[in-house]
Amino acid sequence: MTRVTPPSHLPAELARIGARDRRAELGRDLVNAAYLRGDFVLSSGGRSSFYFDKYLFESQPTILRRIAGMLAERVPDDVDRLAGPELGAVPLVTALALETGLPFIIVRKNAKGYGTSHAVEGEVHQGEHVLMVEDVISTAGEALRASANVLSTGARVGTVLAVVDREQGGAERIAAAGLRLDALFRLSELPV
Amino acid sequence: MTVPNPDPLTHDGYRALLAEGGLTLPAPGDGEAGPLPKYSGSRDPAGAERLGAALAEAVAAVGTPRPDLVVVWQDPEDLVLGHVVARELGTAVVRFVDLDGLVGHEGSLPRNASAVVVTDAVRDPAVVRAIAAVLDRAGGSVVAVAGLVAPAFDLAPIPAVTARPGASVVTA
Repeated sequence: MTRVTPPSHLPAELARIGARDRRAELGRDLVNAAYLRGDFVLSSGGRSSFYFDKYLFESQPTILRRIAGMLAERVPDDVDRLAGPELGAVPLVTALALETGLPFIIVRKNAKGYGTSHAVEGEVHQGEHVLMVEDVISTAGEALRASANVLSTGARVGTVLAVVDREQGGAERIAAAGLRLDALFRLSELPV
Repeated sequence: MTVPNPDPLTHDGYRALLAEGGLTLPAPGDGEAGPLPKYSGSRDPAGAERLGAALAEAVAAVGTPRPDLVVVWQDPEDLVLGHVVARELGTAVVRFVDLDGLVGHEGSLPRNASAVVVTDAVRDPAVVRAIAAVLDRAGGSVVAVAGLVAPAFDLAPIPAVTARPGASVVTA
């Protein structure tokens, strides 16, 4: 029997196709789990005929685990710490921290008026490179507010890493603030 | 509490009342004034009574339609002021909230309401747009925005009123 040796580029090509298929499958699962149709009023003041309920995908371990795995591949090498704005990004940043081994902080919407009064919970040091992790980006108001809070600690933020970019101006606002948005999915890529 | 001037509608008395509640307005010529502090009626309930009554009077003077609902945004600091204005106007109060990017409200929202949004200052016009959109969905509308200082944004066609006519326009 003649043994056929595969071309040397084939394993890499198969891995690439595998990754593409896994990403497509995750996109379908995200939509099935969390894409809601209706008449929604967004905090930007706009109305929307759909809404991504992040809690519906973040509360599914089979989805959350795959998201964390794919986000982990996009974490820049020089990141020291992850950050997640409360409440929606907390499960996400926790899963990503477990995946990467990187420590993380939680950014409050409002500093507590009692106790420690911290706007940022957890340990963060001056000069550290912090990666802001966000679930769904619309106009990026929350991600930018949280980034400003992290910056006020003396740390630096370079990138906002998100699961879904709704493509409603968030990327532009993030760029205008001197940051970069890296989203696992743009809305136009999802099978909605 | 010390109020230098008993008439809240005089310039200095008005500023003093705002300051008692934590809203210190930048003095003319101030450079980098920073974000506008939040007025809290709970810091000075007597002052909030006077300011709220003046706000209600200003709202009533706007004309028709007379508001039948007071709306406050989620900031707890606006609640005292909102309740004073609502009591003076004889309306209910509904608090709107941002629920992870979606705008909702606590308690029931009456249908076809003509609402006045009560706040110390409009810091983000998107808040007014969001409140108007939720009211619109229930057949209602925002008929006025009532603030302690005039908004730095054009909210047209919604009229903006202040407790003291001519209160400084400030940048949030």
